[in-house]
Amino acid sequence: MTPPLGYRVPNATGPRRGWRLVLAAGLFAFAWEAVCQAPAPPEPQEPPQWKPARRPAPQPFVLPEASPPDVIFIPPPPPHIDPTPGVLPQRQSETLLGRSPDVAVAPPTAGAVIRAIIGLVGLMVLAYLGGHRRFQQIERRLNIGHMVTVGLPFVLLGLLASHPAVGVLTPDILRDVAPLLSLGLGWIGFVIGSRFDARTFEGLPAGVGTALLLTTALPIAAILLACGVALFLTGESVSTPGVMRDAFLLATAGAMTARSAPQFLAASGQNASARLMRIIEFEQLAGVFGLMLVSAYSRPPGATVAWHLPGTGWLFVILGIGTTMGIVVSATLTRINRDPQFTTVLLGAVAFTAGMASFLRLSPVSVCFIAGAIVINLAGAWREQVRHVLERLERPIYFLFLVIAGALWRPWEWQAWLLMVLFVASRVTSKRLSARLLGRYWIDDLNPDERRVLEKAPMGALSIAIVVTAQDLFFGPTVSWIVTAVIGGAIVMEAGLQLSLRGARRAAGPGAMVAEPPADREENRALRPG
Amino acid sequence: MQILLLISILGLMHAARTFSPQPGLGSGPAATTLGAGFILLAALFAGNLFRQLRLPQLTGYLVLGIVSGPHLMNLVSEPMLEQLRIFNGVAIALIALTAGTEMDFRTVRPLLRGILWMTLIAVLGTVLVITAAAFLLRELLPFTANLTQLQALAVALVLGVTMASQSPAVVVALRKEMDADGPLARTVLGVVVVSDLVVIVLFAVVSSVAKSLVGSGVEEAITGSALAWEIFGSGGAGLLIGTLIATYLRGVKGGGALFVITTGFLVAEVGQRVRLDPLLIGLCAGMLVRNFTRFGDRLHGEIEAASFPVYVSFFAVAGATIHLGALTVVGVPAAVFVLVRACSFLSGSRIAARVAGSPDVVRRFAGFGLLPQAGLALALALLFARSFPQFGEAASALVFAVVALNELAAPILYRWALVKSGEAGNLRVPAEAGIGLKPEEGLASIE
Repeated sequence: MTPPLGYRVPNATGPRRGWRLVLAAGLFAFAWEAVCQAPAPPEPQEPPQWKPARRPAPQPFVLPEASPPDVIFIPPPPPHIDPTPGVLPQRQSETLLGRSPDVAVAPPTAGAVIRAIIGLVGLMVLAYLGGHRRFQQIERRLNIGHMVTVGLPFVLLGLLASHPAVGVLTPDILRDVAPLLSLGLGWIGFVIGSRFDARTFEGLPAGVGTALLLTTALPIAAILLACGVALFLTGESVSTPGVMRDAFLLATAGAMTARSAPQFLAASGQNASARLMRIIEFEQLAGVFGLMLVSAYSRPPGATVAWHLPGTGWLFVILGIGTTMGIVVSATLTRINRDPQFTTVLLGAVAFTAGMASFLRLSPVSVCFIAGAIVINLAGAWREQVRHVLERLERPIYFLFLVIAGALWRPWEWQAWLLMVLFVASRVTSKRLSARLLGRYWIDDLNPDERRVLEKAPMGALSIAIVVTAQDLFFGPTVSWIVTAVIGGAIVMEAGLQLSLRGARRAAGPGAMVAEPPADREENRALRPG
Repeated sequence: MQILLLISILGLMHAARTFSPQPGLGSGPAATTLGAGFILLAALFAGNLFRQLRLPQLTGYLVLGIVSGPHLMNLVSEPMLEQLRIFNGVAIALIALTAGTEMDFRTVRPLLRGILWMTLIAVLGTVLVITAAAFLLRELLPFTANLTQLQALAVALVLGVTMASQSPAVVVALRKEMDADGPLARTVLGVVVVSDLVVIVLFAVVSSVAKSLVGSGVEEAITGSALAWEIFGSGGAGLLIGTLIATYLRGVKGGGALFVITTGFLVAEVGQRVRLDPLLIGLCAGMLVRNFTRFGDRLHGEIEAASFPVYVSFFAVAGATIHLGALTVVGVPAAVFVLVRACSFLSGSRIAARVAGSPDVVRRFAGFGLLPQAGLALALALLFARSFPQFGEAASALVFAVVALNELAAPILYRWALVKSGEAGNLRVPAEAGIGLKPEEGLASIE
């Protein structure tokens, strides 16, 4: 047998040598392929091709890790047909990124790639600008602050950037940046978790429990009812796989109120009451737990996995991963004192936790929520530093996440828009009803600002995160419907809110104005426990 | 404690791997996010552990990469590495920017004589020594068996240039890690930067000569215009980027770290596609900002703030891609070449320092700073393989093995040299905020 690479290797066995030869050949083939696939340089006459490309040539999008490697694209199955048994179902987001195998895959030209890169840089700049103080001042002046805070323009931007005519977020680019989706979901969960100090549960303001029950349970029930109507109108059946799960997720997303809502609705210009903030935070807690339960008990059907656990087992896995990561991060943070290391640890921890959750088909939001809550409750002197880093990175990561979510959004189905109309109607009605019932029967001192917030209850980032998680984890015809319902609903409700605020301002006369919200960060900090 | 943390992360990663019925962790977005988080956390723990052992943190990142990489534990699989290589370009651009901002003409001028002599004697001398070694030891190198003496000499020359290349990345990273400053650190930085250019030009020349002698029939020779495009185009792009950075720093108070990261990404990704060298671009940009504007210190601080996670990932990924397979095949000849190279650099730098009248500390320790090797040598080795398909694969395997050995051992030696020379801890750059934005920018919370 010929020695590998021509070298004499004493004591090397045949199979080992063969393996080395294959490895070396693979490396060579990889390098050769990368070089051959590299696009031509802009100088046509003398292409200086002597720097090997570091990245491989664009490949067709491959299936998720647990799927068969030889399949390039699985088209979404029609309703009522189970995904292929024995194979993890194709995720919705990846289906959108996939390509048909009969379409020849041509490597992108250098111009197209550069255009995409410059487009991505432009999106990063916008994400930065979106978080800048001066930009927020302009938002407040125009009274569009909440809409921007929730990030709806970035969703639309993503939708636009993914259009073939624009060509910025092409399927290739989306495949490369798709990990940011898990990171963004995890970051949202971690941030929400980091707001839950154990002391929150001590000395709750009166009426919070009842308020929470009403403002959460009533909208959930109403939205579930709306889903039933939508099923009837679209001819779908309750027995369709995933319909009940998606309805529950939609209802959970609809029950959430944006944390920034008090700032944009308060007429008095005072800080939101602690009671109101507690209600909103507990709504978020309920939402995260709802998501946790769904991802534990409603596993993707037909999955071939090495772990076979009942739903409760998965619940413990969620708790176990979140707790372990929380403890690991806490132990790490006590042993470092340089800010760049802080940033690295938090970025790494959120990426690791979210990636693991997503890999195990669990909700990154829920797992990272637990980790964040544990970190903040075990925190030592570095508590403020953690919050500082989280706040600093929050908006850029969140906005990039929304851009990708927007790029994956496919709002072309009429059933989705029908569901959106029913969703908005049921949510507005139920939120208003719950606020009125609360003021009339349970909380006597509910002030007008609190009532207005509970009635209008604009949706926030968590609502979008819940449906994007569904898109990341599950597969089925109704998943894209609930994404459209929530994103479209958020836009419609935001527009309605803006109109009503402007109407109120006009009615109050030129001397009156809807107060500008206090500085977001300081207020949030003041309201945060601890 | 660091060991416990490391074990817990490794355990979690292993548990995740057992979830999949297929071997490895696959290549999906979830696996990439998981891999990125794992690399960041585990490399940080390993680096801190190595620091406690008085070894370079950088070596800790590399070792973690090797252990968890596809050749050993396969916790970070080959497809995951492909995705994570996006850090490489950004890291190289940031490292080059850092090196550029440290090339202050006023402080480098007194050392210029030493730098030039060291480049001439140590670097070019090492090229000749390795060439001679490769020619004389061609019995150990089966790929030269079918070549005539002249052809073997030409190929040995290409090998000499390839193996003589150094690593500005490792030198800059170790200098940052050790907070080192002084004649030694500055001279070494200057030499590796200058020799980077010299090696690129030399490789272009000698590979063309060797190709014409060997007659491989593959049109991979580096033409003059390609070389000119790469060097002068990169220089021009660097000046443009430097002007942009200076304009930003003059006009905008905050967000510098994010701007620097974004610029690094742009330089790396676009530069690669239009055949410009990110290292040269970053170097020229940094030198422009340092020497012709008053924002050199600020740019340096912004890079410090932004680059730590990128460096950690870069070196860990580099470790995971070390060709252990090549090391097992060509271990013996590789070890010989590593020794020859080290002896040549150490003695050459001593002679050069003496000729140039450099300080004693430079004479004694500068050779250790020339030992580290990384990306450039690998890139040249890959190019070697492409240029000479008859035997390039075997030759590049040898270079991979040499780089692997130098990548692991040389940082330890250079760290030791910095400590012994007394330059470690002389540079104190205030640690600024991490990636992204500064607190005074008033970012609001989402929700």
